[in-house]
Amino acid sequence: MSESPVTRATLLLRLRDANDHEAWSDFLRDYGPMLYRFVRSRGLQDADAADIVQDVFRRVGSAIGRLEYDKEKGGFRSWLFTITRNRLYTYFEKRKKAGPSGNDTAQLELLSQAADDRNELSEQWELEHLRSLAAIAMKTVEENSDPKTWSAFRITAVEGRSAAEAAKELSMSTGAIYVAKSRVTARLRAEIQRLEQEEETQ
Amino acid sequence: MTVSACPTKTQLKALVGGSLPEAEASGATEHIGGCTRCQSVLESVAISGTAILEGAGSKDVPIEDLVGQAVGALPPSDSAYWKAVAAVSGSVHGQDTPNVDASVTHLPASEGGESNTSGPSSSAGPSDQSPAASDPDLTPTIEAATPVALPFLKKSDDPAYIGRLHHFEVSRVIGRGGMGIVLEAFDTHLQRNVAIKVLNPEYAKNDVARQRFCREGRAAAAISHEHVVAMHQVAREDQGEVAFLVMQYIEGVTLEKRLQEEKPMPPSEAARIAMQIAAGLSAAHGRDMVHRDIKPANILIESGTERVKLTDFGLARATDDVRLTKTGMVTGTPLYMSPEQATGATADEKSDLFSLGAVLYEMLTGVSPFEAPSIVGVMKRIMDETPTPPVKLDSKIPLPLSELTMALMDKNPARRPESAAFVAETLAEIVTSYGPISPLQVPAVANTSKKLRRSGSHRLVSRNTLRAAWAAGLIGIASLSAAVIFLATRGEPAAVAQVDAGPVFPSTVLAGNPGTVWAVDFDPSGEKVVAAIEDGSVRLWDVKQQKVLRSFDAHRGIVWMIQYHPTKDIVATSGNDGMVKIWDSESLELLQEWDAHSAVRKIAFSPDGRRIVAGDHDGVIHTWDIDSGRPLASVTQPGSIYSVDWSPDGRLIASVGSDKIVRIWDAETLETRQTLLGHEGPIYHVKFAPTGTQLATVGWGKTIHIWDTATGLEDRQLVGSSGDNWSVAFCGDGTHAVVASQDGKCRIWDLASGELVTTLSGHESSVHNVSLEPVTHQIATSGRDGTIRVWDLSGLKE
Repeated sequence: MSESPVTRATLLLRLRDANDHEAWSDFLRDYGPMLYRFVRSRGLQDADAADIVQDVFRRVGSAIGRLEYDKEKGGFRSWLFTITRNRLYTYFEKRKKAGPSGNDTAQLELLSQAADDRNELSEQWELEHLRSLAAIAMKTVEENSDPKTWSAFRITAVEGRSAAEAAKELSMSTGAIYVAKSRVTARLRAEIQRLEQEEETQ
Repeated sequence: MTVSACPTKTQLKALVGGSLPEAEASGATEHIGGCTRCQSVLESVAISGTAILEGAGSKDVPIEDLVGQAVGALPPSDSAYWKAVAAVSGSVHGQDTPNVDASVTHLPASEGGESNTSGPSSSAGPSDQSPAASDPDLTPTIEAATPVALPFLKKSDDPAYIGRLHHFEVSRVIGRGGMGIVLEAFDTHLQRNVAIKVLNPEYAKNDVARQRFCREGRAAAAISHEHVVAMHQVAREDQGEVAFLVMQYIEGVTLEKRLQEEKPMPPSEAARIAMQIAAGLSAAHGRDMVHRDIKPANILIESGTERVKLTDFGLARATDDVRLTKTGMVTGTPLYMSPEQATGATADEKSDLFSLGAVLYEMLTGVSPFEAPSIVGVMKRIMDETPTPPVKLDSKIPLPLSELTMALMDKNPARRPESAAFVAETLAEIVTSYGPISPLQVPAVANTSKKLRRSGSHRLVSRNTLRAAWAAGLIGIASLSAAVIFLATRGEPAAVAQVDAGPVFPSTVLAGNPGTVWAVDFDPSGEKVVAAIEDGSVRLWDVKQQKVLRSFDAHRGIVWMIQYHPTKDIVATSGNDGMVKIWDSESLELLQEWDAHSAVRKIAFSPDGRRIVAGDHDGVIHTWDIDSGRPLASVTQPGSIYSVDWSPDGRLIASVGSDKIVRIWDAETLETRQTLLGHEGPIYHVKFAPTGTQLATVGWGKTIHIWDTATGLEDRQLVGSSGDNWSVAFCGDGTHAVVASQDGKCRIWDLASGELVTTLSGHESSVHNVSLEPVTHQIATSGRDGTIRVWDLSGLKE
């Protein structure tokens, strides 16, 4: 596994250093798209979502130096979730004041539940987080996979095309495509798990 | 094809793990190709080998749901997300200062190209997506790669020039910034060299930005000072496509360039330059103009004379709406930005002083005080860190100069030196302590501070005197507001920034109007509002449903005013095209129109609804009979008229405008009845109280004037607004006045006590118009942010 274990583990420490530009861009790279997708999943338009993401970034930027999050409570990611949730809450509250819609009320209810409640919101958050980890994991796994095996995975899992199509394109048997896909899947799974554990110990 | 038995789950696991013997593996693989059951078992084996993915509620998430293009994709290339990321990650190292925001505006295009052409792994996830703006070299690259396109230039007759704009022969491109292109040109009429700043075509498409560019340019033209680049002209190309400013051409270099050559500068030279910057600022501040973007790139040093000239006054504001997101996030170069600007609060004179401090610090020490590799890093340092005092970095720097620099950069605006004039004078003391200098280098300073006593012309002001003077500035509301700002930014992430204390009134927001909304009025039912919009259109909104019911083009250019007739179903509009039009409010049929021949900012119906009055740009007041269309009377006053109103008893007409005088006329004959003096600047709006003889006027300057029309005397002044005021209205019984202000707030005053009752906050920039619905206690406000807000104030009437 070539990349980043050290990088990710110390990202938070590095973020506290205003001069560590790389840490900041790593953070944006690793968490930005996830935040955006999560916020969009609440039914926000692109511009509003971008605003919220930017605002979350800004809060992270200005608060991380003073951050003393509780490691027991899920660490950085959960802290980020709280910030995002609060921002969304403010957003929906404003919108509700302007003229409530059914969705706004439902979203507000969801957002006002306790942070550690298992609900659709936190599940969506975790899912988006897994998606970002998957994206990171994919890079590592691709580097360590045989190109043909990887292509079989890419065509079927990423591009969503059929195994038959992949078989034709790669001159492999359909069975081989399935096997290749599941091999990569298993490796990805292991890599995602590793990334998760690493993050837990941050 | 052979039909074989399904492999066991153990075999499948081994197959995925690569540990199944080759002979078995090939058979199983072939089998799987034709067996859908085994395909799905294989998939579940692969995804759920151990209990991972606990986070997602212990469910096994199909791999497609984690890596599929549709779910894991990066935000689309045209998403506002990229701008947001660029804004927070933009490099500020070794920047050509004005180019930073150019890179922001260009970013989505380059992002788009990248994600469209890159490989599958990048389209699936963010892993190899390094934010483009993290590359410190990116900004110049983009600038260099973009050829300078000057489509607005006409061909010049003289081959020595690259083109022609109006009567200006353009000789070269001096530079490009985020806001536009700067050209050197020759004014063929006045036979002199000028610099022309053309608004970036990207912004020029945006009417709001263009209007503002011109407006700020006009405001800057009012500043005449040896340390401010003179603004000659604000112009538009014939079709109105290109807006440009014509300025004094300065032969010289920017301070940014100078600093690249020599850093740090000798303290005496740094002090001299800072002194002249402060002097230029004091001239602007004296006219209530804030620069907002003091940085080395905006400071020119004239060749030969070494005289300092400030440029781009107020222009940072011109593109505010384009560069700021809705949450008020600031983009651009924050290296010299004040903490209050970094938090998105309004910049004022003290913000310019902070920036001056940061520039002075860099001149003295050679380093920018808040330098950090990212915009967020810089902003964080601006808010949290106090730089090392210059004297500690270099003992040759005089202590008073070091202390002044640090005082300018105080986080709390109230603790900074009290004015630019004060700073200029203090610096003059320091400069002269180095020895006699040419009187030419000692700048004229506007409104010399009373507090500062210069003890002999060559003596330094003692540290105690300085401290006392700064402490004096501490008193007042400035410190209070600063404290609130800091609470908001330093609070926990959960904290919601609530800048204004006091009761919060609900408002319905009608957003998305295509530009500044200059006027708004309730329909007779109080359920709908009509809006006069900058792009020439009129919109009818249903307030409750927040829906646009009708929209039509009413005027060429800005619609300045819209008002319902007091009794009939008709509505009147006036526009920049000089037309006053009467429409059927149901059918939108044009019933009547008059040509005033110059822009009409305000109109008013007579209370009986039979006549209408209009005041135009050339200072002419017109009255017309609505039914017959016949002109009744007209009179001309000096300057431009910005507002007119008709008294409730129908006998008087009031007019105000650029000449700072309130005039009251006989409504029939338009003979002068009263002339009210007291405004310090142009007056933007006049309104008769519904009962009695009171009249309210607002405008340039923060004071609201209440007059008695019978005596011609001033009844009262209302103080407390923090900006110029655009519009005033009375409540139904005349006990309260509602005032819309430049600072985005709307304030309600009790006229009996003269006290501020409440402040309505919500608009993101200037509120231009306020209109009341007396029955339902609603107030409609509209402004530069393109929104209309309808406030329910029923809670206020105890």
